[in-house]
Amino acid sequence: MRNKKATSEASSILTIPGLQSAGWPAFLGIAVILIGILAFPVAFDVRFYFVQVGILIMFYATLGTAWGIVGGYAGQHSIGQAAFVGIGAYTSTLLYMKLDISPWIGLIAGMLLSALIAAVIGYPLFRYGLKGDYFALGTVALGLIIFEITTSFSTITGGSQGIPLKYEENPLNFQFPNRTVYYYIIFIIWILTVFISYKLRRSRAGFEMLAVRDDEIAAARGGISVLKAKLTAFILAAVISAAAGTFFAQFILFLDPSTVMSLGISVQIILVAVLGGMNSYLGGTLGAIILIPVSQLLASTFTERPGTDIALYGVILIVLMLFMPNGILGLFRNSPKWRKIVGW
Amino acid sequence: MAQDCGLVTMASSILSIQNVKKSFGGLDVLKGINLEIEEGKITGIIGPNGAGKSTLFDIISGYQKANEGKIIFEGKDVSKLMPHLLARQGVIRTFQLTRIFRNLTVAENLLVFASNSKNQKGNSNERAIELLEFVHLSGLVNDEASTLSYGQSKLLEFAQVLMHSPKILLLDEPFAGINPGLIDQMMQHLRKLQSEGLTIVLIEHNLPMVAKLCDSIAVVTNGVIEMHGAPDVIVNDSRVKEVFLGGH
Amino acid sequence: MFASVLVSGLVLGGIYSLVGAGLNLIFGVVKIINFAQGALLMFGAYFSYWIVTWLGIDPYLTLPIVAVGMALLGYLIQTTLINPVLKQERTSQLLITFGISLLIQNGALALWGPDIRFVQSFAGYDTFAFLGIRVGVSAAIAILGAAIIIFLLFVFLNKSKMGTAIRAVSQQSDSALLAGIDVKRVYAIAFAIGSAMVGVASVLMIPIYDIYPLMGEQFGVIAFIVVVLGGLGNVQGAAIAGVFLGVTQNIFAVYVSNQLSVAILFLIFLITLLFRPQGIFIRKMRVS
Ligand SMILES: Nc1ncnc2c1ncn2[C@@H]1O[C@H](COP(=O)(O)OP(=O)(O)OP(=O)(O)O)[C@@H](O)[C@H]1O
Ligand SMILES: [Mg+2]
Repeated sequence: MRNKKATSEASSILTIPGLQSAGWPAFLGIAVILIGILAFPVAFDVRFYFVQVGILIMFYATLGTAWGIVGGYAGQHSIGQAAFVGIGAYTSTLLYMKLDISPWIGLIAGMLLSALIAAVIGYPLFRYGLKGDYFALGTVALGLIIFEITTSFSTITGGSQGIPLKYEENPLNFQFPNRTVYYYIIFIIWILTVFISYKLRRSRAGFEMLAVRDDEIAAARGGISVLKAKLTAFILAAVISAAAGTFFAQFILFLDPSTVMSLGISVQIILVAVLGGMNSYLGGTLGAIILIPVSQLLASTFTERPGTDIALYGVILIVLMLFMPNGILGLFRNSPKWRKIVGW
Repeated sequence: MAQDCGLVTMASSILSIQNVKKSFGGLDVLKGINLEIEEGKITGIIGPNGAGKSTLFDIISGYQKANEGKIIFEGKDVSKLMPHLLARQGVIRTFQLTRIFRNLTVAENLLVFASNSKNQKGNSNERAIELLEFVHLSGLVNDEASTLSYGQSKLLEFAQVLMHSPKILLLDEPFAGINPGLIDQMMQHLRKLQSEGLTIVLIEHNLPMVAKLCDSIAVVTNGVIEMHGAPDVIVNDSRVKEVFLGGH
Repeated sequence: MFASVLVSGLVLGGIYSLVGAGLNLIFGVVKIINFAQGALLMFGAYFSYWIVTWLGIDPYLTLPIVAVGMALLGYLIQTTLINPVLKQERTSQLLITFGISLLIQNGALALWGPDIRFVQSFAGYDTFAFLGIRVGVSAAIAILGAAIIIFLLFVFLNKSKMGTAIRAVSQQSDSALLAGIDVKRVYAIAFAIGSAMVGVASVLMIPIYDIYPLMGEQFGVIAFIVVVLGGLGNVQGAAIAGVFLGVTQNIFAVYVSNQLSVAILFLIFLITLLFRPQGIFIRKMRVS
């Protein structure tokens, strides 16, 4: 709180990164873009396929932005992020299918369960100073365990056969006759996520994460609890991913382990964040806008040769890491003004 | 074993290091360090390379655990506290190899340190401006810290720790790599901080500089405090001369 | 019954040991997690398979070609993709090996399809009696082969000049640099040896296991468990851990639950990561 007051002074040299650096054109631009996004499904007579691509973009933008919090801000590269998408999806779906509990409540339940699991796994991993690589390994293991368990307990989860969700048109059941509604729901989830990420970047907690990412030892010397910063980031990302997971299950009305929590989904999430620039609150969104249409195109081009699209993903990932490890928005880091705007 | 050389009384000690021992594998680095740091004074620590001076700082600031012994800060045993908790109590250090946040801007580097201390006073923004001017970095506020030179990084770190309003400041070779003109200013600044009540402990190899700045000097050799006393006494001691003037 | 469970556990364990020891070498020396280890195993298997198909020779005879080919591939990966990013953040290296894994695994799927393939060795399904147990000839070859290769690696690391350089670099890359060792070359050789071990593993396993694009995934991940259990850079440790995991998995699969037999390994992994990291990872500074 203290530094907020201090830095809000006009002459302050300690301006917090943010959109105010861009002035009114930025706000105008944002307003136009948001109105455009909102109007897209209704104003133009678009095929539902394109609405669907829009939904996928916002879905992955949400996940990429959430990953940016733990991977970009806090520098903890969670390779098993899809596990939390799966936890969210399966929690709400199983509650709905087995106990007839509304997926809206399931949404909250999935978020809480994700938070719990992230805390239980994250605490010891961070506590024992397992940094960087080991955290990544731990999250791979977590992702695979949850995948295997879901596949194995097929009496409850439907195993690899999956479970179709029962369809009862009822907004209270997260189900709508007009499928365009899903577009607006994911819009809300996405915009909230970006907003959280933006606010976080400007907050004390956000600075603590960045400090920890850069140098844990120096961060501790600044009075920052390294454990708390990492754990906060990990849990926050997990909770958002779970919410997106519930949404996705309701949207496609079918759930199996490989749709929501395969390693491939985790990779997609990372790729989205890395391509856009994982340190920026806009990175996940930019990455999704580019990558999702491309992936749709690749997948439909190579239908007779499955695997080609993911192999190309591999190539993109390698090339990106070799030549542009900071992603597209990372190119702005050298301009003080733009750096503030994109919140690098 | 430690000799008191010319220090009459130990007035009020803010930090008390009691029988601290530390070994790495089979190497006994600290073999029972006893040292009282007086409140409001500047204490210098000298000793040959590898004597364990930085290790002692690591132990005081919580980055390493002593095998034995206690650290008492303001009357409380803080031996088991984690570094960030010690920092919040006002025990702030610099590192021999400068540590700054390389991917943050200079301004953000200070912002990180702008609170989190129980000891915060004054407006942190004004303070930041003042400090940046003092270390000649005001022109670079929006630059990424990774673009700074080694000396500039070191100055940024110096500004950072002062941002935090420490109660006791542990400086590990603060003047190494800084240009001489600025060293004088830093020394003056340290004296000013001292006059405002700050306690300072610094490790330094340059004997004349330590003698000029410090109220007392402790000599670490062979894992113990060989001597602790007034600067003129220490500087003129034959053993110290042998170790230091031989080496320099 | 139990004896044959044990034997197939040992085969699995031998493969784990080879893949894990190779990974451990790379991890210990280059200090990166090679996410592509499992994909390389699959690639080695296809490599051998295609030679067998084209030349009609026995799969075991492909061993030298596959080992050398895989070593070259490993050398290339290190020199062209990893060495350029050594100075960058660790993520870059991690994600690059991840990208390699995606490329190899899905490239195989795209090129050769998802079909399950297999090869016939001279041993076929022959068995022999050993201490009253019936043991498959190919199983015996796999177990013995793994043991011999691990032993050779151990001798190489401890007795040869290059082995000494590798150990020096794995202990302290900076001072090794001072001593006039070409660190980047040592990295590349370590990566080459790690990949060659995977190549050997793939040749030893294909007379017993099916060949398909995803076959390496499980082995690649289990190799991490081997590394963590065995201790960083510890070849013997990795060998023992590999055997332990293979046997455990097989016993669990037969007597408790086949489906959960992989999950149990991950559980062992997580528990190790969570509760015994001190023995494995040296903590210099306390921060969290
Ligand atoms: N983490 C560690 N593991 C093993 N040995 C260590 C470790 N840290 C320090 N040492 C050893 O402890 C001894 C003391 O190191 P330290 O850095 O405290 O010395 P110093 O007095 O600060 O020296 P200098 O004047 O060169 O900075 C050295 O021999 C060093 O090699
Ligand atoms: Mg030192």
